[in-house]
Amino acid sequence: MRAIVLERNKQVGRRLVRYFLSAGVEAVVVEDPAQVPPAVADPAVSWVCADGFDGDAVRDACRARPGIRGMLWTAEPLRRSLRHLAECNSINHVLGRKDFESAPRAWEMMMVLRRALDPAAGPPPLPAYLDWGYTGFEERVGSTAQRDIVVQRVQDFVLALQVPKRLGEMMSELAHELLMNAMYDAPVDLNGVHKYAVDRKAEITLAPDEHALVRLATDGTRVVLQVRDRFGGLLRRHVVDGLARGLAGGEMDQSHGGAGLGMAVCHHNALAMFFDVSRGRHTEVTAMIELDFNLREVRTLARSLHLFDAVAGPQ
Amino acid sequence: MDAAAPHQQPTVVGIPGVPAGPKLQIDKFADGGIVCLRLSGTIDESFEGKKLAETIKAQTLVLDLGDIRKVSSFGIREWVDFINGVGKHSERIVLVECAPKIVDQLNMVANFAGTGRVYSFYSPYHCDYCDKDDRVLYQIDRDFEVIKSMKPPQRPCTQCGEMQYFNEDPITFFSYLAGAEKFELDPDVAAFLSSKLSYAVSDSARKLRIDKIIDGRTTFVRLGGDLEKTFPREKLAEGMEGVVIVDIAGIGKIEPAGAAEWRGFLQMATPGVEALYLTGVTPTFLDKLTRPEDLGPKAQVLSFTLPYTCATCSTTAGQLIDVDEHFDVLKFATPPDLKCPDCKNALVCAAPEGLLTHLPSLPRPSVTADFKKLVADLRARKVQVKKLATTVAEAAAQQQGGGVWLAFTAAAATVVLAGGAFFIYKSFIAEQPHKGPGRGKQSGASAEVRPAWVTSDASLAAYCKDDQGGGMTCVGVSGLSPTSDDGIDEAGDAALDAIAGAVASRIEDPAWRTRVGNLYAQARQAKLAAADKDPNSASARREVRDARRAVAKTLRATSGGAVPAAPSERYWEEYDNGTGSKQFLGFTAYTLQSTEVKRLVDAYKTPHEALGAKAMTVFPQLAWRYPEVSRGAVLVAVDKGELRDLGLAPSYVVLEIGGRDVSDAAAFGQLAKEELTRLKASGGTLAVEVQAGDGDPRSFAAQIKGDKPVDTGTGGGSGGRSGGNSGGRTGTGNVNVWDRYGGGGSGGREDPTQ
Repeated sequence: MRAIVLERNKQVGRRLVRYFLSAGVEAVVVEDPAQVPPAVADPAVSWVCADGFDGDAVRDACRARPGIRGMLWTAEPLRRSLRHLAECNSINHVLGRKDFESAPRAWEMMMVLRRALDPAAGPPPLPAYLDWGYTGFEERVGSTAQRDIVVQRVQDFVLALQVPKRLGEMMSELAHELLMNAMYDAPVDLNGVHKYAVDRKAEITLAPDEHALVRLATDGTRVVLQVRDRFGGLLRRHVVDGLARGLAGGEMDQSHGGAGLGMAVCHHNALAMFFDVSRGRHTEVTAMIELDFNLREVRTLARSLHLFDAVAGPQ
Repeated sequence: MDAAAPHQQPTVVGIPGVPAGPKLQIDKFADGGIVCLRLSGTIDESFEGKKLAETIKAQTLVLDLGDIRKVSSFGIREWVDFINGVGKHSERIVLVECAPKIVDQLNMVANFAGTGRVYSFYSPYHCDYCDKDDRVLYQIDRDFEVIKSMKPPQRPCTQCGEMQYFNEDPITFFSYLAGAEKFELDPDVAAFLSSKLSYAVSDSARKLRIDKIIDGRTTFVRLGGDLEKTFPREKLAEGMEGVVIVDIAGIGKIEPAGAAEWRGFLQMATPGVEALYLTGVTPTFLDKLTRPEDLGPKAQVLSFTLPYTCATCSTTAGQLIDVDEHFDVLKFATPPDLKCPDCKNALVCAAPEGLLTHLPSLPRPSVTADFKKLVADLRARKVQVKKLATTVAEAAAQQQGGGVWLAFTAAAATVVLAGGAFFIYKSFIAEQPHKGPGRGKQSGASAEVRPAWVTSDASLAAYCKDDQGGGMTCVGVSGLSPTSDDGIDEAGDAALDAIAGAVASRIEDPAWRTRVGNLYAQARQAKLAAADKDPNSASARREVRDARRAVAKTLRATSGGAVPAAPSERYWEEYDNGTGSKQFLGFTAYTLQSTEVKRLVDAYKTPHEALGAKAMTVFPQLAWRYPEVSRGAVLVAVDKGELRDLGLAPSYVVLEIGGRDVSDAAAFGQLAKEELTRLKASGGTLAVEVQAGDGDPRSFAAQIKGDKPVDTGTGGGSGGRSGGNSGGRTGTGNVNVWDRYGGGGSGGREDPTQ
């Protein structure tokens, strides 16, 4: 497997090559977008990667060679890279980075590449998002009342980490949002009809096999929240269009019962979001936030977005 | 500035469909056409936006969103339904004290505010020194320039006093608000929010407003705003005769000094009037100022308001109670039974017991039905809006204009009505002449007759009068002094302080007001208030005297000769308090020509730029806060450049650059440029000393790489200034200068805690 890395900063380029090699992918760094088309003519090339600034080059390469996957990194708001995800189904990953002189997070890139090398492996376990040594909890949520209890527990757990109060509120808001999707949107009957999406104000009790699973863990430097349902109904357009709408000006879309702004709310409250869908089997959404930044930095850091498996475009 | 919590007990509305402990609590207050909803908690799917909107009808709907903690995506949908719904039933919607979470939604969601306008919002601040999170209230009228610039300043931490910073990305946080238009609350809304619910509103909205109607032998006076010591009792009582009706409904907070002035007003007015009726008396006023000894022989309460709650409408509102009509119930300390004007269901009185026990002491008013009707008509009459007087001349012109609505005499009108120009030193001018405790009998004077230019003999007073042609005369009054010379000197300093105040009132640059004016206003007010509160306090008087002396010194040092070297008038009076010791009261006047006034204004308002920062000459009244600072330049803007990289922020007073004194803004510009040029040539340390907040001056320093190699030796013939330092300091070259500039105590750039 070979990757073409379009990166103008030599130091960052060298670091990226190191990451790719560590994951078992040979990387060739180019500094000019004009070098990309001839480079991707090589049939061994399966990835084209660049900063979102050069997203057009990645998009064009993906279109020119079906089967090639695109990866972007950015130090800017996600909104600008989202355009490329909307225009090209082969681009499923945007990696946030601190600034133009920094590389994206190594573990995040490694996860993307490793999963590409072994697509059958499925989503990684929760510890894969954390450093060695972590603590957390797991809860099954089957009713509206349980949802509220778990949301509060998420907030209490995060606040116990001596972080600003608003960070705890952000994580609980995120948990509430993801649980609303897992409990009200996801469950469908045998005919594929949504069971609870009509009235989100209703108090509901899910059947045991419909319960949503919430996992929350921290290794002291970051907190990871994961919500999983067993239906696997989330579509790529739900994510991409929802984010695009929410980040472009917040026009509501009430056609699906909600406000259509849930993705945007999640985006504001997490530094990285991982969407993992196996159609009819599970939808797993994992959100990560780092703890060693103050709120102002959290606000300004570029966000990551990853779409895996069925929620991703054609591979 | 965090706003205090509303003091009125609200009606709590549980949200339908939510089990015990609603996630969102809604408190509702009403007063006439103004309805205020205070929302606290989480806005999510359980918020019934449409249903709630159907229950709200108001001319002005005020939404207090200060305690909103979380908003879910479905909550956004409900909120938008709500805001659109209430928009159909309300003429105006004002959002106040919006929590940062709400600001996030305003930035993210189209039409989140509907037809509403954001008046105030909280910004998150954080102090790295003590790890405290704060919320600072921004108001669209007061802080418009800061909001527009998207550059929220650092501010002193409320816990440790160190500087705390804006803890958000300003460009993101202000993206919606920066596009909002500046507006002020309607006076009635501001009065309601300020007086009834203790919300933060602009200062001008809380200033006492007095409207007067003369109808035959009846004089109707309407009061609005806070009752403070500036209440012009003599002016108001002057010439009052016949039947006087005073509408108290607009009175907000009542300060002890204001209460004393009010009592004085009643005492002065009582002899001349046939009867004096109070109407629309607020619960606070009722509690504090309607005892028999307060009312005297002629004053009577016609009507007052008590808070009543309607359980059906979930509203708490003030209801007007006619004393004559309900006298038989009131005399038993019982509130009358009233019905909700909207749903006609029974209301429940929400007044505290303490207030009710006072009701039996109210005398039964002896009035006819026709008189009650006249009062109702007068109360309903709209005020003819007049341009507020901002100068003595304008106020006088308004007075000459006559008509039904009478302005007060020029000086008083300036104080009472002006929200702008003379606001800064209103506390002086408003003083009414009084002999003061312990002054005794006058036993001598420097002239046979007190000169006409002395219009007030209140101790420590200072006041200015606009002369024809743009000049002005400022008069200072001393406190009682051991010698006449001491009195004259102290009065001279007071007059110079008044000149500075008058100059400040003529500088309209918002940046100056925000960065310079706000820097000392609070300290000045506090010292003056302390002296006013306890005229016998030697320490309070010393604080004022020393501050004024420092102001006078700075004014002379920085005015470029625009202030006359000697006063135009001097006068003193000798007093004997019966103990044989004599004390003196000094009066000193300075007269400035229009050209001198203009020079002064120009001297302090002209900015000079260097290294990305803009500075104005240090203003003399800064001495009220920084008595040691008599020179320098105040940073009013710090944009990208060396000074911002150094860590400097707006409102810092630059005292030295590279060891050289900064005398004023021009010197700042020149020295900064010279120093940078020199450092870019030879390398070294850019060192700046500033006054930043209370406490000792702080040093900031950073290395500047030069084009030539730097001599890091200890002399070597390069002179004291080579290597980037001056003032006897040796060159630093590439040496870490942290220790050299005082280590952690100095707060220098190399201080790792910075």
